[in-house]
Amino acid sequence: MLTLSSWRARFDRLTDTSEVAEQVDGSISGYLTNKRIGWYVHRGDLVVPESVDNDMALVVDGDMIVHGFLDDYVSDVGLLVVLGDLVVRDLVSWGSVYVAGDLRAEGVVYGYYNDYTFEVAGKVHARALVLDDKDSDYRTGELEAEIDSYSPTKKQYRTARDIFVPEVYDDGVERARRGKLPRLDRPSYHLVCSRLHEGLPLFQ
Amino acid sequence: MLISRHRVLCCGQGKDVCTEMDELVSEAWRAATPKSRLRELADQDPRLARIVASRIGLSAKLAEELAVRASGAGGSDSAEGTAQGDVRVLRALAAQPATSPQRLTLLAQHADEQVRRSVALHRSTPKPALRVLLGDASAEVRRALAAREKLPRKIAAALLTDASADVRLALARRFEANPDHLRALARDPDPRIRRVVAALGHADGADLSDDDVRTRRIAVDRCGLEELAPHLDRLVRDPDAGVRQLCAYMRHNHSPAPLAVLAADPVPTVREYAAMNWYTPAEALAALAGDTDLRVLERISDNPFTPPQALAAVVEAVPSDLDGSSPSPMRSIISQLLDHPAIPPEALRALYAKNPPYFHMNDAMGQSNWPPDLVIEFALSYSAPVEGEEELRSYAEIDAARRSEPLDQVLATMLSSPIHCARRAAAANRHTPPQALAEYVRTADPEREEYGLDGVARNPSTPVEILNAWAAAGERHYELLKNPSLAASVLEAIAADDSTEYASQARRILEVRGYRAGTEETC
Repeated sequence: MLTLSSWRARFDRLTDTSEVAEQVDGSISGYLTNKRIGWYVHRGDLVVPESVDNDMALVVDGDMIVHGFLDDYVSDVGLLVVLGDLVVRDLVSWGSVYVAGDLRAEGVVYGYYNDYTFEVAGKVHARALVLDDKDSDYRTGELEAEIDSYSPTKKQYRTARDIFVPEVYDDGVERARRGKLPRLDRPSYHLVCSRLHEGLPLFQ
Repeated sequence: MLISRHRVLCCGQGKDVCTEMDELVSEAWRAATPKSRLRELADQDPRLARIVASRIGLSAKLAEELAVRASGAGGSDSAEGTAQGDVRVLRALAAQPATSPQRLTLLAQHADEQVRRSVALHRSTPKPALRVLLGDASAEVRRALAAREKLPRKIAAALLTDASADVRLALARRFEANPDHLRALARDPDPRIRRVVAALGHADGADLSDDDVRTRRIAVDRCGLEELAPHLDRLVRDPDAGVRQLCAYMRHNHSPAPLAVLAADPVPTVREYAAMNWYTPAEALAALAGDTDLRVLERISDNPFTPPQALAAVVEAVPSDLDGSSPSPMRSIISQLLDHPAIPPEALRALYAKNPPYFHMNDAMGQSNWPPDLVIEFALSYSAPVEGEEELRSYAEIDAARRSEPLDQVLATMLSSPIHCARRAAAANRHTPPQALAEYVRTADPEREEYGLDGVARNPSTPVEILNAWAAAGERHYELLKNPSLAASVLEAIAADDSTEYASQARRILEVRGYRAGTEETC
């Protein structure tokens, strides 16, 4: 897994974030104008050839394509602003993600925890979008399953349960051993993250 | 920006065309789309071809097919005659992990700068292609080369003298920058590069005398005590106040002569940090007590090694009858003076006469330096009205005795009073006779008299054997460290007990005491 700050020589310090802050629309502008956060910028499209740990505050002035999963809570909390599209295998986010275009994930997009934000000005396309207590703003694209941040329905839980493996649910393995389906709940953020890091499948 | 661009292109073509294109874009990205369909999509529209070329998990075979098609029939990889759409496909392929080394070698000579830039960064680009890129006319391409993950040593060495400062800067900022290369860049003409090298600590001291102010600041901030010490005589006279301020920090400077210079600096923030530093000489701290800047006085009143006469001088600067809305530094100054372990009794009396805000009798009874008449007054006022025959009798005895007997004897009497706050005030006060304190410790119930015994630990009149015993037993280290006349043996016992968080503080006090030997004045 690549730690994004190890690529620091490819990025420039973004001392004046006001121009980017004017381009984006949402809570992320508060992070962009926060003088205590040291932002960096990548000019043009950014292609990462493997899974990536975003440990920095980065603006990508183009598209970002990650040939693996993106996790922004491994070595530090990451903040990411993509002014084009973001394409990933999977995205697990404790920090902030802002995408000006579309967000496309082959697998899961999981936004977790009530600090930081999840904002997509375009549409979110993914196999499953799971939000848990996350300040979020997005439009729905192609999604097989979607679990809302604050008031998910039983139908949303059922649809997600139909596609996820039981191992991503708390007590899921134990219940499967007893021939039962996982409880109607969100997949566990921690179990999803650990399975991604171990290279184990999330979906049936 | 794939979609954004696509949306612009759709504009004016009608909703149906947009929707259809949206669907094709989604199909081109979708993981389950079969390879045969991807070929069709790539043939259909250059925008879709670019998406296919960017796909996660693209096969090497399809990547090569797309490259051949985008490069033209001859596969020359020349941008001349290549459609713009095709160039975008090649840009995508130059960053695509599935692209082969052979194709990357060809793309390294493509006319498009962005294509070559991506090739320079690609993990699979072979060394001969990297050598070609080393001579690239575009600084952006060479900069990408300098920033790539694995950079052959000879190419890195060649980039050290690149004509472009941005290229050399990228080399310095590499995650695994070679220390020899960093040392070579320490004398680079571009200050941005020297700053990076200074921050990484590879300038071998050259950064401390750099022409660039920011480089010098970074260098000083990164230096440890020993590393900085030989340069301090010069740095404390640096034309930049930021450099001088950094030199005044306690983590950078324990040297008396340079600190004395900084304590007399014309810039208040520099004096402020000198006033905070425990190693600033007593005479310099005394001089700072007359400073006109409140922030400096605030730091002086918080420095545990400020000499008593300097604290008394700060008290003189406190105005009378301040209200709660007085400026913030003055509020801190008063609070810190009231709590300072070295403040002389008469200075406390003078401060009390000014009717300071934030004064609490309860706090004063726990402080060791209050004059005896005042602390007795506080104890009687605070405990009134007392209840019960014993307390009433004791109250009357203390009240009568303070008018007729020596006050140290009154304090000794208070230690055996049934009135709790009378015992507590006498236990903490330095005017209470040592023998009375020893007797109090011998007979006190440790649980019931916890606060009183804590006061004894802070009291400079307490016999050293008692303090030694507590220090060795790991008891009351926090309170002992507030005692202004703590014997070295007590400090050594605390310093030796690494199980507590106070050991390092005790070691630091011993170190400062050693440094100040012969100059320290006791309260």
